[in-house]
Amino acid sequence: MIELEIRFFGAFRKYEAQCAPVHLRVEEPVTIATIKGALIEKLRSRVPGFSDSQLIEDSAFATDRRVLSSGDMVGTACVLSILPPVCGG
Amino acid sequence: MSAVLCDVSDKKIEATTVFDFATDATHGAQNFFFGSVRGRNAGRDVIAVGYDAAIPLATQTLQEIAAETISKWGASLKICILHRVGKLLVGEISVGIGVSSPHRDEAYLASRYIIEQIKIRAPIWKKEFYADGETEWLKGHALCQHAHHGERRLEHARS
Repeated sequence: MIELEIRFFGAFRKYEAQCAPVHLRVEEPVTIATIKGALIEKLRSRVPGFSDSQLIEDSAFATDRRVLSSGDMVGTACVLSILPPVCGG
Repeated sequence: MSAVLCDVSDKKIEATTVFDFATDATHGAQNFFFGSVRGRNAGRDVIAVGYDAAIPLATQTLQEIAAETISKWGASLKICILHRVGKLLVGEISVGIGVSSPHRDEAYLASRYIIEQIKIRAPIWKKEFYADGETEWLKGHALCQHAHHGERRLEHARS
């Protein structure tokens, strides 16, 4: 098992006050799809009325250095950011 | 010789910073773009916009966009890209882009490329604050998550 810490940005910032830090314990290596599912379950269990499942599905995970692709596997404990759809400028 | 300045921070964007960096005595064209907070969007009166960013990754993304721009329109370009985070009032500058090039065509094309790429790739988000007291995170572009080179395994990604 490995532990992933999830950081929130944009529309997910509201969860910082409610339940940060969020740590997910998952079997390694873990797919992005599995991480999304684990995060949805974690937030559903801790946030009454949680309704951002689709936003999580539409989001990407990243380290400080790169956005992970849907085919990436995570094999070690690390900090990941969940990035909702972007709108800079 | 190209030169690039990219920054994502809560510091006020000074137009002179962009002007001064994106200037070169051997160039005949300078193109400047400034994006600012507008007071009306989608039929609602806006009083401010809060900008959030994954700052290290956003800064790196701006640097990647600048590098692509140079590869497309010439090694001599000078490029300045500044993006603000924090709560900005109507009229404040949220993004400043300056491109200096030998001729005008590259300057126009490069500047347009940079702002369009920022909008779809940079991990930056906007939260609008409305006159009626409500707030809303704006919808955006999903970051591309498709694997281009097959599956990769992240083993040492502590950040």
